[in-house]
Amino acid sequence: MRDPAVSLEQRMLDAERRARELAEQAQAEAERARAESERAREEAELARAEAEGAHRLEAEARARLQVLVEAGGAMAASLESRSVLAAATGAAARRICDYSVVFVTGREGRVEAAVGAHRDPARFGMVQRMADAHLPDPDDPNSVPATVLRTGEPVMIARVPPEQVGRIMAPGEQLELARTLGFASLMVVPLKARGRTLGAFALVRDEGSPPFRDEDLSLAGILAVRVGLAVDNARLYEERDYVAETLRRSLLPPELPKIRGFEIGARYLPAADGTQVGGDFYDVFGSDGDRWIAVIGDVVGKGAEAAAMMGLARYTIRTAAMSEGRPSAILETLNRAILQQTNDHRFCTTCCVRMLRSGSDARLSVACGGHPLPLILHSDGSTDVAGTPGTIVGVFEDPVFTDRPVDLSIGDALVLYTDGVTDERRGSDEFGEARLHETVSQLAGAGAQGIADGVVDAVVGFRTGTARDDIAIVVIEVVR
Amino acid sequence: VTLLRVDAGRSGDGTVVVLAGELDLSTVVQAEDVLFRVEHETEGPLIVDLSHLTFIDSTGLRLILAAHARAIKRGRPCAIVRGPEAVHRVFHLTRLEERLAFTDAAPIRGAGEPG
Repeated sequence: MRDPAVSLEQRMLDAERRARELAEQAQAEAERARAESERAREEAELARAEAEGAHRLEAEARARLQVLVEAGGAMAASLESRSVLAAATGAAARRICDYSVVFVTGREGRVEAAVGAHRDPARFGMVQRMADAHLPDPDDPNSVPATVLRTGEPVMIARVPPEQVGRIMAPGEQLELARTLGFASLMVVPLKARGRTLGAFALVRDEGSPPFRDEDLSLAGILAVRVGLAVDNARLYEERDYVAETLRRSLLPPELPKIRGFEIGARYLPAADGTQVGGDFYDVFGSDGDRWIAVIGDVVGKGAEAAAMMGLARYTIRTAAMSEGRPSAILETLNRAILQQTNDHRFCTTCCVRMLRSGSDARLSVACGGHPLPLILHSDGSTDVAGTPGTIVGVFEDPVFTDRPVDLSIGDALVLYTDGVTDERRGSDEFGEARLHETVSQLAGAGAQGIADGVVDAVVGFRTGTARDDIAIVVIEVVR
Repeated sequence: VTLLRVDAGRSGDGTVVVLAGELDLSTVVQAEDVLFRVEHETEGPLIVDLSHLTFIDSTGLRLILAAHARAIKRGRPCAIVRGPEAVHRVFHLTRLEERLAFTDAAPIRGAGEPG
């Protein structure tokens, strides 16, 4: 039996409790739902923030890497080390720092030059003056570039204390300019290629920019690697030019000999691309007593191989002339020498002339091996062709070379030339032999050198565009 | 602008390589490539046609000379179709005229031997 009073009270309490429980439950659930939605919102926000952050980082990374693209393109387009450095400092100043300077070292490790750039083109000159005011002394312990050059390791001073600027920079103009430009944060990275340190790349930020961070240093490092390679490449190219020029000069006589009764003039004009040793050569020398030899020739091709054959030709001719009097015999010796040393149809064309003076006349003997026949210019302006065609030199066992006598009087001249003269063109029109005869005819009385110069001037004036081939001319004039 | 055009084709039982334009240091590689292929991929007479050439320099001469020598060495008949006066003058001046088998005729048809 239940007690109705208790039971009613109890039931009311129970109901109340359940109602409370339900209300609490509902509230808890509502709270949980709110919390969940809050978390979801937060998560969404975070995700958006992350996405934004990632995007910003990516854009930043892209902007940072842009420096490599900019510098790389400009450097690749340049084969001159100074232009490479200008491209590198310019790109760095636009993208990484406020201004930058590259110091380059020479063979002995001394700093030879500095190239600077500023974000603001109006301040380029100031940066350059600051750098030039005092190039780093490799032994100076206070100079950061010198330290980098010595150790080959990069240095970063994120915040340069003002008092340190005075130690890093040389007193006077350099320090003053550094203070004017601002000198708050500094990185110096080495330029290296093939294991050698070629220079130091200094990047500076002024007080208005944030200090350098580690990622700036790694970016500068990557840029420096590329700059190092480009400088090395440019230097190799410059060196090749120098070698070609030296080689060329060594293969042409430094100075034409003075010969009694003859006046010699000569001109040599290399083809447009100076890095290639051309194939033309000439030489004038005394062989025995009052016998003189003049020779002109053209070796097939260009470059080192052509230079090697030019050397072979020139010295073989000189040696042969000691024992052989006839030009044809000299060419035969040369033919044998080339045949012995090559087997790839490499050849040269040569015209060899022996000169002998007797009284007021001169007797010349001319032999050609595959070479354009020389021209005779008489003192009255009339022209002729001397000699007969001969076989190219260096290919056949049984070449045909013929000695042809040419008798000249005072005022007459023999003009030896290479095919670069006649092959030169204006559009599709060749300079040609007829034009050469015309030109030479008008140069009667101009003297040996005047004739050589006149022909070169005419050819250069005639042609359009760059030189197609080397041009060489040797003029032998009979004088009193 | 191509300064040299190189064409190769059959002619009877031989092969003709036609060089048209300028054969010099800057273009000789083009001709070399085609000649090399023709020499290795074909048999029978080899004809090098210079009749459409406007210019030849010493590197061009060397190419013709070498191709001719290689063909002869392999027992393959070789003929050169003479170029216009400006081109042939160079072969005359170098006396290569006497060393190479020149022909005036356009490439022969169906003949076993050129020239």
